[in-house]
Amino acid sequence: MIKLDRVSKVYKDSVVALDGVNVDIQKGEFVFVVGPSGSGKSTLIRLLIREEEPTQGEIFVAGKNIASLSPWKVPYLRRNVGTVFQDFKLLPDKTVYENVAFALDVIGKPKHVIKSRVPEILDLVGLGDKLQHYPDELSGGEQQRVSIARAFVNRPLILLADEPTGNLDPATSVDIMKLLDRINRTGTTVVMATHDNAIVDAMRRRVIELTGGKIVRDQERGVYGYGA
Amino acid sequence: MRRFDFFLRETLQAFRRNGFVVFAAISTAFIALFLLGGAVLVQREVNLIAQSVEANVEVSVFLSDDISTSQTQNLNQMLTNMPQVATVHYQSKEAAYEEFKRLFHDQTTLVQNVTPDALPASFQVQLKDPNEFTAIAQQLQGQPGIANIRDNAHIYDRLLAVTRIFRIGVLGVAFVMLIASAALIANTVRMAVFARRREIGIMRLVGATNGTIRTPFLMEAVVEGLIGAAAALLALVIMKVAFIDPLRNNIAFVPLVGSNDLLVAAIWIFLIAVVVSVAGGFFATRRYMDV
Repeated sequence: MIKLDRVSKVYKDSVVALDGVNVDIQKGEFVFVVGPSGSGKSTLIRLLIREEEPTQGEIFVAGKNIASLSPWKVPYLRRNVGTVFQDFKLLPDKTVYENVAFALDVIGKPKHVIKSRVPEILDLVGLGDKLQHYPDELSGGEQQRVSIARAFVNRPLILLADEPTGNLDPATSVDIMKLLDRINRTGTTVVMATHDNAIVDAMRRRVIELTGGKIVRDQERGVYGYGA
Repeated sequence: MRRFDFFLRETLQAFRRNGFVVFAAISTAFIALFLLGGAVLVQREVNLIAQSVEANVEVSVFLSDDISTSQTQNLNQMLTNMPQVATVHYQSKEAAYEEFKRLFHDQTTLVQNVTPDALPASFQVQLKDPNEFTAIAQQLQGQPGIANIRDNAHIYDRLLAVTRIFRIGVLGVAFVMLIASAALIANTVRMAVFARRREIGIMRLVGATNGTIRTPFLMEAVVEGLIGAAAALLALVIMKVAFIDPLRNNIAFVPLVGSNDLLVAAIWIFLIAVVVSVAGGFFATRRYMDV
């Protein structure tokens, strides 16, 4: 589903964010990407949605080489890859329902599809009773659920999460992880970059550890780190 | 393609948000397009005058008072035989006086001070091609009984030269104003883009195409341009009704621009308005579109 072949990313100021990374992720896997700040986790996520292009190497997402994808095809890649961020990125002047509907509306889904799918997905994330609330009326955990609903409402093949629990307390984080696990069990490949060792240790999923832009560990059913 | 009402709502919202800047952009577009339309009308007017001049170019061959009848007949024969000449009309001193009285009927003192004898007899010669005047003049040179040869085209030459300069000036100012209005429209669009950068980020994230992201902004630009165009057209219509139409009854011998000329100006105004506003909108959104 996702394959990185000797991928390097060097920024303009010659900061090496990724250095010859090889990764192979199968369909339906749940993968944690861990490592200290600046180790290249976020760069990896950004490369996967073609927010950035690799300096070297090939990246395959859902069978397509996205390193050489022409710009006008990028939106169609992103429809297959849902993304969730630490800061939720919700629109404050839109309700929960509207925030999720917006994602379908702007990719041209017809009204009746939006009307049936949005309440369904919000039910799935446990917000079926808060459709008309605004983001600032919700807790952090609830806001992240809305953002996950928005990322997942178009049924992407892959869900990328960049520190999704970074702003949440441990109990809420556990709820979010349960939700991501449920999404993973529908067959969606989930890649989650995180700092949160408690979560990684509890989930016992594949762990890819980055340090200084290199993969230092790729372990099935791993924990956060030996020294952590 | 997303629903039209969505785009419309977004556009109206942008107007509310940046009312003053939008007003500035629209009024600049208005002035630019008004000048453009004015230049188009001036051009049409010049063409009308030029056409009527072409149709009316006459060479006047004024005869000396002491010309004999045979010399007159001789000249008449000579003119009629020239291949460049279409018609020859003899105007006697009496006929010239009648014409003079008709032209200056409202200036009685002038008419009273001119006796029928003061005006020369002449041949009024219509040419097939008005540019042949020099050739005719040369052939007639030295013939007895000719006092003076004149063509009336040079009167219009001055008029055409003046209007040409005027037209170039107006078009030049219109051009500068059009660039200014494109820049101002681009500016309002940039503000709208800035106000909605969060939405744009999310749209890109969830896979909206550049076209979908861009369309509301381009629409805002086009609506601004079209409002300016409508105002400019309205102003031109008012100008026509207030200033040009009353002239129609007073000066019969100069053709005036009419409604169909206004229609041509309107087509130009709206066409240029769309081009300018789309260009402005495109320019303003280009920076935010790279993926």
